Amino acid sequence: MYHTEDIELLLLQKEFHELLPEEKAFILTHIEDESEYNRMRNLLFQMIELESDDLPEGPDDRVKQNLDALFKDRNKARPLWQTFSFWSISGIAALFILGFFFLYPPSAENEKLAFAENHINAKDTLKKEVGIEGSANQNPKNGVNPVMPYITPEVMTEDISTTTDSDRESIMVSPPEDESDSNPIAAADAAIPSQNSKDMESVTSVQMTDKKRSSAESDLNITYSKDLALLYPGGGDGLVRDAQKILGNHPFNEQLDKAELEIKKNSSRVIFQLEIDKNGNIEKVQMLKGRKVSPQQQQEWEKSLKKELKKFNLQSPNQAGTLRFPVIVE
Amino acid sequence: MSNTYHLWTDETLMRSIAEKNHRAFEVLYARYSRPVFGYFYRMLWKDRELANDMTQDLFTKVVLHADQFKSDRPFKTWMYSIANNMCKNEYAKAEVRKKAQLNIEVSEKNSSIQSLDLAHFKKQLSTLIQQLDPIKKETIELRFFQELSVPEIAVSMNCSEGTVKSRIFYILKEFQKDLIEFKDILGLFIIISMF
Repeated sequence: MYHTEDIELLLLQKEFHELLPEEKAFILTHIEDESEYNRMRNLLFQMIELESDDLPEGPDDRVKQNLDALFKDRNKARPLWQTFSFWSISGIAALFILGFFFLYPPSAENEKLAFAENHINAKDTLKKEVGIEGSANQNPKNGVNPVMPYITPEVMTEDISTTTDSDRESIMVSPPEDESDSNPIAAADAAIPSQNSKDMESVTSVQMTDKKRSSAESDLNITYSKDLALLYPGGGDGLVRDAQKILGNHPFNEQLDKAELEIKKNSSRVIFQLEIDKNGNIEKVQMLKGRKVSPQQQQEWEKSLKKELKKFNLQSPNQAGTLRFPVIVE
Repeated sequence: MSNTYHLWTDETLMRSIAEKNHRAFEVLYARYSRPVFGYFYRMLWKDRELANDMTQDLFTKVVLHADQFKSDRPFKTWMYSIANNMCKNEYAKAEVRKKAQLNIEVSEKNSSIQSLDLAHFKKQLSTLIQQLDPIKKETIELRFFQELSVPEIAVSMNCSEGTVKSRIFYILKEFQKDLIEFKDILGLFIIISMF
């Protein structure tokens, strides 16, 4: 039994007179006669031979060059941002973030909480304080501040979130017993309020003589003298916020965290003193008191702290004094 | 080892290309660049530049998707399946251009119909092939120019072997009628073949 599909094979293999009777009978059902068979057969051979007649040699050389370049390029490591996994992870992260903001839209109250949470770790066993003491020769010419007397540090407590300019102007600090001139370490110690661990975990505050509020949540206590607060851009709030920002993120803290166990053994306060010149430039950073560390380590801490504190915009006119950073290790 | 690359099967070369073996790619390119270029050249209106571009695109696909190639399937049929789809896309994109090209060829046919020499016969045959619809042209291309077997063509074109054979027969029958003016030449071929 033959099918039309087999005619090609017969055409290729046999001339008409070579066909078997049954093959010939089958062929003649599809092809008129011997001459048509022969024409088709020769046409078939001509088609097979047609290939080389008008065919160009092959593709241009540039095709191969481009493909070689592609191959080499494919073998190069793909940058991270081109990888599928990068975009997958980024997309998922973006969805989480958008979802969070959808569920918890930002509000003024949330922003305040976010500020405190960003810079303060309530479980951190290291307690950081900032003490600023020193003289500020106020210059009435620049109109920044009325004539201020020489003021030595006074302990003040002020809620940073509620302090206003009027609050600050109302604060008149009485000169305390000044032991900072003779003994800066003792003065710094004195500036650090005596606190137990509960106090340290509960409030961020600036201590004041006339009132005490401790509603903000932080274990970072900052003490500063009123004259400096008045000169500082943004006043006391600005000073406290900047100090928190700098100290909260300072690599120095990370270093202390790493050395935490060792520090705990010594259980001592580490106090850094920063000297500022009249132009607000940081002249010197020195560790006044603390556990024993190698001179090299100490130097590294001081250098690192000085570099970071340059961000502290203290360039108020005629401002001079010292800024102390006591770190309490419990 | 590198001296034996030319002995490797297409499928082995593809596995090696998937592992970023440049030498394997060079051997495969040397093996198929010319046939593939010829395929595109004839299938796409004998446009040399287009054939160059399509050849490059095809081998780009081979390089980029080498890891997706399943070695249980013959490389040749896989490659011509891709080439076939590329041609279909090109037909769809360039329908107007195709028609224009065919019009030119028809006019060439009319002008050369009186010439009964072998060169004109071949030119006419080539023109007829160009005028075939894409499926028939693909069949002829793979069978006579790429020299694929009927089963390979069936796989490449996703049809039965019987369909492929029938198409070839009816194309031959049709051509034989269209080329009736050249019957003397075809008869001459018979005489030549007898000697």
